Amino acid sequence: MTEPRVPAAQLPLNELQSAFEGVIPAVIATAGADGTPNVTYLSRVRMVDDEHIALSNQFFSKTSQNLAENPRASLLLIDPTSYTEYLLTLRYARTEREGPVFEALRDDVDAVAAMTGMQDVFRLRAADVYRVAHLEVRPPRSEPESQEVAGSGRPRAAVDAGTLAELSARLTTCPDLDALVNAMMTGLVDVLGYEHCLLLLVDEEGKRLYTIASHGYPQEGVGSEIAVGEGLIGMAAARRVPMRAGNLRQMTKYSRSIRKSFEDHGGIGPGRVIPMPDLPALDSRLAVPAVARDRVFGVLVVESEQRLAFTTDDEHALTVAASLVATAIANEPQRVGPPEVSAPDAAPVRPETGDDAPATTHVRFFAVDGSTFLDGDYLIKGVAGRILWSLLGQHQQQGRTEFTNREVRLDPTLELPELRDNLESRLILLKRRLEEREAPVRIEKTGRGQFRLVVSATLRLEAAG
Amino acid sequence: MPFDPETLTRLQEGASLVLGTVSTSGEPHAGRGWGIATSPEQPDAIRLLLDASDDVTIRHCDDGGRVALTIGNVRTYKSLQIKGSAVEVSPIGPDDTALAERYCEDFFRAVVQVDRHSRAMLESWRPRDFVACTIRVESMYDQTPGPRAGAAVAEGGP
Repeated sequence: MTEPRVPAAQLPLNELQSAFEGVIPAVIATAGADGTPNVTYLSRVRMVDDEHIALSNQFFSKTSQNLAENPRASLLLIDPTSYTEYLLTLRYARTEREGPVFEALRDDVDAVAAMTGMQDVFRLRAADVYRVAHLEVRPPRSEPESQEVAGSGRPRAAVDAGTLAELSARLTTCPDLDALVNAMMTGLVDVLGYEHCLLLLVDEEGKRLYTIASHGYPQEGVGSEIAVGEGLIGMAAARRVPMRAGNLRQMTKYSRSIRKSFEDHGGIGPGRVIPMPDLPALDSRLAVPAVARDRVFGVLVVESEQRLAFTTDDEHALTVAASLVATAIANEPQRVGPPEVSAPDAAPVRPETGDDAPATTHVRFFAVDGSTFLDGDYLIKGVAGRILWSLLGQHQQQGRTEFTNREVRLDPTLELPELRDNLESRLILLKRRLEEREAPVRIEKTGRGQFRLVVSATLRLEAAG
Repeated sequence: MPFDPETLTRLQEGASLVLGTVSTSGEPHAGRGWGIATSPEQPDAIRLLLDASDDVTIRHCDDGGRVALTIGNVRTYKSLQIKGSAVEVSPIGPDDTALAERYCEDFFRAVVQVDRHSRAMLESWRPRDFVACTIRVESMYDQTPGPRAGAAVAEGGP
C-alpha cells in the first residue's frame, strides 16, 4: 500500500524553504516541441513570491531551448529534514537579467563558484521565473525508524530582542576596542549560542580582510587574510549583504565538478582554491558585513558542522551584532581622547647580558609592505608591521617601553591613511598576533590610550628591501 | 546493446537516477528510477525500475512516450543522459527485486558517505513497490554540470 499523493494548492511556497536550500539537488524536466524530454539537476531555486519561483540558468542550453518551444516544466524537490518530496508543475513566465530576483540568485550561484575560486568563470546568465501551476506533496513512503537527520543537530534557542539587548549591554561596558572584540566573541558564544565564529576587519586600503579574533577553531588564525570579494566572506564585504550557505559540502562537491569540467575542456587552468576553515566537516557558514556610516569595517562570520545551521533569524541577529562592532570601530578615533596620565619618561631598559641573558631574536622588516619576520617566521605586515618596527626601533635606540596611542597615530613613518585611521584595530591585531605566536615581544595595555612594550629577548633589527 | 552489464553496473553504482517523461499533450514530468538492467532480449534497450506509486510516470511510459534518464554519480556529479522511448511497462520479477535492493544499497551508502544524510531517513524514501519499464535507447549525452553539458556521447557508450 502506498502513501496518498497530496495536492497542495493551498500550501504556501515559503513552507518549502528547506527544500529550496539545495541540500538535495533539485531536478527539472522539460520537453521540446517534438515531445522529447530533458531532465537535469539545478544548483539553486529561489522563491520569488507566493506563486512564483526563480531557477538559476548557467548551462541550461537544452532546457532553455525546450522552454522556448514549450513553456512547461516539472520540478522535483526534497526537503532534507523530512524527505518529503514536492513535485511542482511550472509555467515559464519570464527571464530576468537584472533586479532583486536576479541579484539574489546571482549571490547564491556566486557562493557556489566561490567554493573553488570560479567567480570569474561560473556566473549566472539569467534567472528564469516560473509560475507554480500545481504543487503536489509526497510524504516519505514510510515513517523513518529514527527522526535523526544527519548533520543537522540540536537547534539553538531563538534569538529575540532580549538576547540582543544582553549582547548590546555587554558591549557598551567595554572600555576599549580590544575589550569589545573579546566581549563580542564571548557574547556570540555565551549569549547567541554560536560555537565557531570569526571577526575580520577591512585593511587600510579596503582591499583585504584580516582576522582579528576567532573562537572555536583549532588555530586562532589571527592575521589570516582574504581578499574583499573573494569567497563567501569576501563577497559579504564587497556586496554589503549577508551571505549564507547551509550545505557547503554539497556546494563544494558541485563546484569542484564544474571546475573540473572547465579544466577538462580548456576553459581555465588549474588555479588557487580558497582554503576552507579548519573545521573537520564544515557545512554551514553565515558571513555578515559590519557596516557603520555607510562604510564596511569588517565581516562577522559564524560557522557550523551542522547542515542548514543558520536561518534568516541568524542573519538579522548578526547584522545587529556586526553593526555594534562597526559603530564602535567608527567611533574609536573620537573615543580615544587624551591618555589618563602622561606617559612617563621610562628609564632605558636594556636586555640583560651574561650567562642568563635571553636569547637573541632576529627581527627582519620589509619597508615596501611592512612585512615583519621573527627569526625567519612571518609575523605580520601592513600598518601593524610598521607600528611594531617603529616601537622596536624606539625601544632599541632610546630604551623606551611606555607609549601612547596618540603618538603612534601621529608617527609619519607609519603612513596611516587619513580617512582609514583605524589605528586601534591595528594595535589589537598586533597585540593578539604577538600573543598567538608566543613572541618575545608583547604589548600590554596600561591605561586608556596607553600601552607598554614588553621585550624578553635581545633583538637584532634588520631593515631589508 | 548500448551497455554491457559491467558498464551499466559501474554507471549506476552510487548514482541517482532521475527521469523526464512527457504526456501525449506535451506536459513534462520529473520522476525517479530505482535500478537499471540490460535487456538480453532487446539489445538496444534497458529495463528501468520505477516507483509503482508514480502514476504519472507510469502513464507516460504506458503511452509509449519518449523518456530522458540521467544517471548522476553522487560522489563526482559526473552524469550521463540517455534518451529513448518507452516500449512497455510490466510487473517486476525476482531479479528486479534483487536489482532494486542492490541499487538502493549502493545509492544510499554513497549518499550517507558523501552527503552525511541519515540512513534511516533515506530508507523512508525507498518505494514500497516497483514496476519495470523497458526503454529503447536512441542517444546518449554528457550531462555533467559545466560547459559541455548536453554534448552527445559517441556511439559505444561512456
